[in-house]
Amino acid sequence: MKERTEQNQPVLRVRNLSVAFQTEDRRVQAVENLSFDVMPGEVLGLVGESGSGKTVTGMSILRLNPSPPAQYTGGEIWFEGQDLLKLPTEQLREIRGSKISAIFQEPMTALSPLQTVGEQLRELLNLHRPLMTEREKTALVVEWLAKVGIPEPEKRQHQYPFQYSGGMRQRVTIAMALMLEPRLVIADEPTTALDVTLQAQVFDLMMEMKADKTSLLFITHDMGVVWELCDRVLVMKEARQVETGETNALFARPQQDYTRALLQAVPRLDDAPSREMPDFEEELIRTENLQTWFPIKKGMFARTVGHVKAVDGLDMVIHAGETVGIVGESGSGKSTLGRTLIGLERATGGEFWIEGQPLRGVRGGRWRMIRRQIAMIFQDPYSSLNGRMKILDLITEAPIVHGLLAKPDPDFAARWLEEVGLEADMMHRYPHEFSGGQRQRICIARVLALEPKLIICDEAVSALDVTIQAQILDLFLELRERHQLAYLFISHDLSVVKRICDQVLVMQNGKAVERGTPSRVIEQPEHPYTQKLLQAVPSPGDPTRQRRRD
Amino acid sequence: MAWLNPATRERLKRFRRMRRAWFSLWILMILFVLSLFSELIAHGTPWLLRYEGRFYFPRVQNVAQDLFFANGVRSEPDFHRLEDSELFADGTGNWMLWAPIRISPENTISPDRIQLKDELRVSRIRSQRVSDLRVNAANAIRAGRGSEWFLGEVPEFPSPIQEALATRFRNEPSESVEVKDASGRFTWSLSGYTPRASAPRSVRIFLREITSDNERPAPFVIVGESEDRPEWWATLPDPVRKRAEAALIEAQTVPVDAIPYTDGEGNALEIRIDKETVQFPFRPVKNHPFGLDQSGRDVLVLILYATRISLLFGFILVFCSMLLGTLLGGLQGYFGGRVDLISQRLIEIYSAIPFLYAMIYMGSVFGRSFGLLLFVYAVFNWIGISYYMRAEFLKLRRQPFTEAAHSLGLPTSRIMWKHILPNALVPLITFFPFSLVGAIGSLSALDYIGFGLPVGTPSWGDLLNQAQTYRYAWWLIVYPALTLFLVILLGVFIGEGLRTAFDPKRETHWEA
Repeated sequence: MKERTEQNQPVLRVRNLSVAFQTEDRRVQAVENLSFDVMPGEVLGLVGESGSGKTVTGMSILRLNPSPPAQYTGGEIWFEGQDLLKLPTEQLREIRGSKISAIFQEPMTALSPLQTVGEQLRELLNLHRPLMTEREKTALVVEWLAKVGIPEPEKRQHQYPFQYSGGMRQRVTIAMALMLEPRLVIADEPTTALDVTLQAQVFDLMMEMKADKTSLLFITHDMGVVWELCDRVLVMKEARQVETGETNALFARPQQDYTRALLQAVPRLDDAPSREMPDFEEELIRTENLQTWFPIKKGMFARTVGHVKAVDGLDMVIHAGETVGIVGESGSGKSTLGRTLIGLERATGGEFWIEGQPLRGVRGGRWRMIRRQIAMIFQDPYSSLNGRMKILDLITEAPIVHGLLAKPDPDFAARWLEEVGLEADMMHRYPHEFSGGQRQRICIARVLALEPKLIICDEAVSALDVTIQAQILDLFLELRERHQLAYLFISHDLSVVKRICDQVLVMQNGKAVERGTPSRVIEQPEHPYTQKLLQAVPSPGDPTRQRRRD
Repeated sequence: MAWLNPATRERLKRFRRMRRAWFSLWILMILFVLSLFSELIAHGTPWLLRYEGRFYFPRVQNVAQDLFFANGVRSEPDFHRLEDSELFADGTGNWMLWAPIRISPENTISPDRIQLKDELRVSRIRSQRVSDLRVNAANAIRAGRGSEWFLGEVPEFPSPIQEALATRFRNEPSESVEVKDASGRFTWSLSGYTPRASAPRSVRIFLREITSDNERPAPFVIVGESEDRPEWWATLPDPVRKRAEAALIEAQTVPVDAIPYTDGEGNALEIRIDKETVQFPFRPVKNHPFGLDQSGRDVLVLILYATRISLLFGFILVFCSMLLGTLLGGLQGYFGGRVDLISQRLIEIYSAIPFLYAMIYMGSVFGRSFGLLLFVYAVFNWIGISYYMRAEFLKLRRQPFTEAAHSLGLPTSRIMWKHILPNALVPLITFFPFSLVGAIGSLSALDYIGFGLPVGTPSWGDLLNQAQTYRYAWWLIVYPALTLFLVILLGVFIGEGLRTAFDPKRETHWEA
């Protein structure tokens, strides 16, 4: 009986939490009047788009928001009978890391590069388990490294973080978060920086941890991840709670329009393709045995000791007006392929042509002319626009250089801004005044203004929130029809690729391992690598698939 | 400010809110602008001159002595004396318009134009009598001048002196000896002795009057033609007083010797009469509040002009070296790879050339000048900046917005100029005040060791160098050092403010 009451006591009770940020001239309400409970052994998903206040909520529990200017304007956070918001810093420090721990998004920066992995884990024990002997500490560290799936933990504990892969590093941070057996773990987008197969590994680990009655507050923007992992969901928008409920119920019968929109925007593997495959005639790009190798240099005289074969003998054809998708894990060479086609990397072997003109060996000025026909859109809309130029100048700059325009013409800029669904008067502002989605539209307007034949989209929607992502994808589809554009759509997200592409190419280690129409590749994958990729894709609301939380 | 990028505007706003830095910037700018117009503040030639109904501009045109004296001399007159002369007396309608300070930095102030107080200092000092005796082995004495006062007719040696004499005539080593006479009025003394080849033929004995310790009464001050005399004046013997009165008059124009005399009690005394004379470097006086340097130039005016030279030097130097550093650093960073590798090595070799050596060498070949110093400095100074710019360009050329610019087919020159450079300027701006301060400091240091600007150029370092020779001349060290300190302090405050204002990661600290 006693155990039952214990079971029903929430680990964490947040009541009417309000957090505001005071900047020099304005005040931003980041979280407003938010209340929720986390039960023992439960996984609560905190979902929302960027800027919805979900991360601030998570950080408020440990009071790790930059302070000032964060102000906790109201509410309580109850944990083990104490209000964390009122607790003195010394006592809070006792709780941080040992009773409540956190996993952050960036595994690359969460570990100190100057200490071995083992030392960093032991340091945690030195702080919170001062009575343990050195031998016991080492044993525990090795045990946890093994638990999170680090091979040869005895040996690996003496290695530095740079000797670990990205996925292993994230697993080390998970070990750090779990080693002291906390009652609550706050995970803030722990897999966003990882690709699908690594993400799947991390999820399995978290589910094991849930079995140990550790509660998890999972902060994410990804509905697929929520479906895979969470028992309950809290949807946030603009600092407030929109809706909360059991995952199954919420996915099946969302009560609020916003939740519905969010769920609909998620691209799914079972989405219908955007169009029937038309007949393409004119060949735009052809590659034969294309190679882009990067030399590995060693020693004092930088001798080339080997090559990273980023693109290794790729044959591909893109027809005018066709959309070709490239999928693969990170490091499979898909980005390098795109960069080689536009001349940002130099091909080291093979041949490639645009409309029959050979491109290999082309240099300098000729490349600049070719770049009128091929354009590229990058992943991060925040860093791909020069913050020191007005939108007008950003859009008209390249056309002026290519002789299409004589001067920065506002009418010209207005036309292309309207083409991508922005307002013409935005041209007199600077990039930092726009949201991520708007910026990506500006990037699109900028390349469209050159009227290219092919646009290479390198993960062009992966940094965007789902609803924005859907809008931008629609824009791509619309522009494709209006301007007879061909796309090379590079993505790790199979569901996005399925929606937009006419052809899919699966890349592994620089080679195309499988190709075909998206429906064929996704429904009847032939290559084991494709099957593995598909296995790992979280697909919300798909009743045919086993979920990890079950 | 509307033309500025909003991010830059935001930073400037932040900078303005830092009051210390903002005020420092204003003060330094005002100082700089004022020093640019030094000629309007201090100059030894009048700006405007009206003579017999006509206006002349002596700063612009040559106004010859001939105009005033009809003596055919084409050179300029001494305008200071001219203004004091009858030609420019009140009521003649002739006048001159001067800068507030009527001195140029190169003007040597003639000592007779320095207004000293018209004072004589009279003091009476007790002088100590000294004399000596020469004694030979036969105890025959040859007495030195003035020894009668000590010994009377028959000298009687105290026994320690006799013993000391005996050891010396035996040619044996001996320490120095000093003995008080039985009368208590004087001491006998013999210096130490080391044996020689043969015994000395005579030995010298010194006699010294015992006086009460260092009687130095404060001098009596006689102002101008005043009839005031010290109390003891009346006690002087008549002939002595007459000589002293004559000396008082003589001392108004030339230095006079001390007048020795013996008073009624047989004490030797002397009367000294002093008038302060002008010797360069000369202390701060009326019209020259910061004093005069070793060649009689006004220190205030020198500091004013030196401020202009230092700040101008600093600004031009930092501008040139930033230009060079950005250009070369930017090229290295942008092209990277082999270009970077080779030019880095060349720079390393180049930067091993000792600057001071190059400076001295070039100075001796081409003759020292402001331009040469600037050139040699700039040719070395850009290296530091180029490292920063290289790193910035190296970083920015891999930024997505640069790659995006590439993929749009923009030419390299445009990418460097429009896309990378504006984003790489932050280190330049935050570095500027510190570089400026560094340049000013090094200019002073070079002047101090004497390898800087040509001799005679107004310079803080040169004044400090003079202070090393004339150690009592505190005004040569305090005023230039204070100015240097002030300028450097202002520069550092500005730099600190800029750095904080431009820091992207400011004021983030965790509650921990």
